[in-house]
Amino acid sequence: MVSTSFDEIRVEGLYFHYEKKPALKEVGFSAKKGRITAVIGPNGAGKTTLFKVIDLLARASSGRVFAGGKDVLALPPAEARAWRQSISFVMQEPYLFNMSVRQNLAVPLKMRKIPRSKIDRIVQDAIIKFGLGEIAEKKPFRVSSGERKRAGLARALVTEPALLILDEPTASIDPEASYLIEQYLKDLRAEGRTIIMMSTHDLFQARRLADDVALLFKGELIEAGTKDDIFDRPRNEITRKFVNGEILVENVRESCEALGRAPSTLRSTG
Amino acid sequence: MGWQSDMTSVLGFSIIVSATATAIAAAVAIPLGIFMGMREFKGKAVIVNLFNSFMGFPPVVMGVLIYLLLSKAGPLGFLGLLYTPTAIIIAQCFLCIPIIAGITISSITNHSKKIIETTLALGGSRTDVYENVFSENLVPILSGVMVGFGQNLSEVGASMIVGGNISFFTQTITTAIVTFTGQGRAMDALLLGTVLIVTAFFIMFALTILQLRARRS
Ligand SMILES: Nc1ncnc2c1ncn2[C@@H]1O[C@H](COP(=O)(O)OP(=O)(O)O)[C@@H](O)[C@H]1O
Ligand SMILES: [Mg+2]
Repeated sequence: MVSTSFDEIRVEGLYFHYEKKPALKEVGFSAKKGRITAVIGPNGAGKTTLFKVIDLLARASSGRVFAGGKDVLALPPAEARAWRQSISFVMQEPYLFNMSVRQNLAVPLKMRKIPRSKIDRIVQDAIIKFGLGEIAEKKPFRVSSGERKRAGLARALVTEPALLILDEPTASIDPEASYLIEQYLKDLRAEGRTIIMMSTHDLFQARRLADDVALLFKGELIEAGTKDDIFDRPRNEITRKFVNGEILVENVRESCEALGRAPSTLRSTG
Repeated sequence: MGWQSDMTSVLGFSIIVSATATAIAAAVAIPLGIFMGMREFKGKAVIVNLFNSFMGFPPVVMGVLIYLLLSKAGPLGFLGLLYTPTAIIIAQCFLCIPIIAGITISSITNHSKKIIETTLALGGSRTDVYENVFSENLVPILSGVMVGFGQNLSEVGASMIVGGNISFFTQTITTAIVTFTGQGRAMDALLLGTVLIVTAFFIMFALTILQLRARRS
């Protein structure tokens, strides 16, 4: 059995391939309870893939993911569900089922066969805590993308997971909605009971929120350490280039070359 | 009495036969469509295309095929089903399966990945996954069922050939229209035609409402 509470998750030597194409190569890092670990890296680095592997939604080619003294990648299929129930993964665009936001928050609790009266109470508390009162009875199509992300986060937390994984929790939503989500994550960290792991391609956000940072680049884990290690004392040349923005410049240049244009034409056509 | 009871019995018979055929087809086609829609496999595109082309399968041809199957000399001739309501149900069932399965597969192929991943990520079981994929695609699936029912109700070729258009036994709305027209009872034919159109209208109306309510994001 997987332990439902653990203080650390450790990823070791993780490989993943889409068909033949490698998306994760020898990825290793760890994340601890009461801290926010940001996985940073440009688009296509492998952040989403990494999270799917940890949540057993994608099968690693090799490697280990240790939690509570067990390698969760080696769990028999029957226990994969127990592992998923002890953690929560909020996808970049959370999918809300075609029912009210309130009913959506109840879904993970119903799947855990929690008594009806208890579900109602937990859901109501979450609605208040996450400021979802105005949209609680609305169906997903009437909810903005920022509200959807907030509802997705609330739905992930009603089960009090030991590990919360968030894929780009504030990408593509407005500053106010992003601010709210950042506040919830800070509050959750302050409570100290959860391992928080999030991806972001926003370096400013990583600086604001993270305690620990892991840089993924083209499927490889380039460097992991405390926020200060990564941003102020990078040991790796790629890390240094990424945190001061040079890699983004290189990516833009590569994309322009791929389009057969000089960067200047891109700028002038704006 | 007279034509009035004729008409109501023909209408009732048609609805019962077509609804039964649709229900049996749905019981086969929906699980099949969900199962295939949720999986990626080689040749899936071919199968989807096959279903799509069978959606427009001419009822008359289906009638002939089922006739060959059920006629005295045919492989299932010993069952003695030709010219019975059961024969019509069988033919309409086969006409309907590709419609329901095709619509179910394409809807689920497009809308199941996120549902599956979300359900598993929230701690759901395999049963939860199937349930959610079904309920989140309920509207397109029901649309498929209603389109199938509409087609069954309005087809004439298959029920004529395998049912035989026997009064008070296998006569449907559409085959009755053919008979009435032939007998010079044009007004009766027109009346039945109107009933058919009104029924079809209600089906389309219900469909539209369903689709409006289902608007996603
Ligand atoms: N379903 C898929 N099939 C094939 N390749 C994929 C698939 N999903 C992602 N990839 C590829 O894997 C790499 C990593 O993608 P992803 O994990 O989504 O990166 P990130 O989340 O950091 O942007 C990218 O090169 C991407 O093109
Ligand atoms: Mg991603």
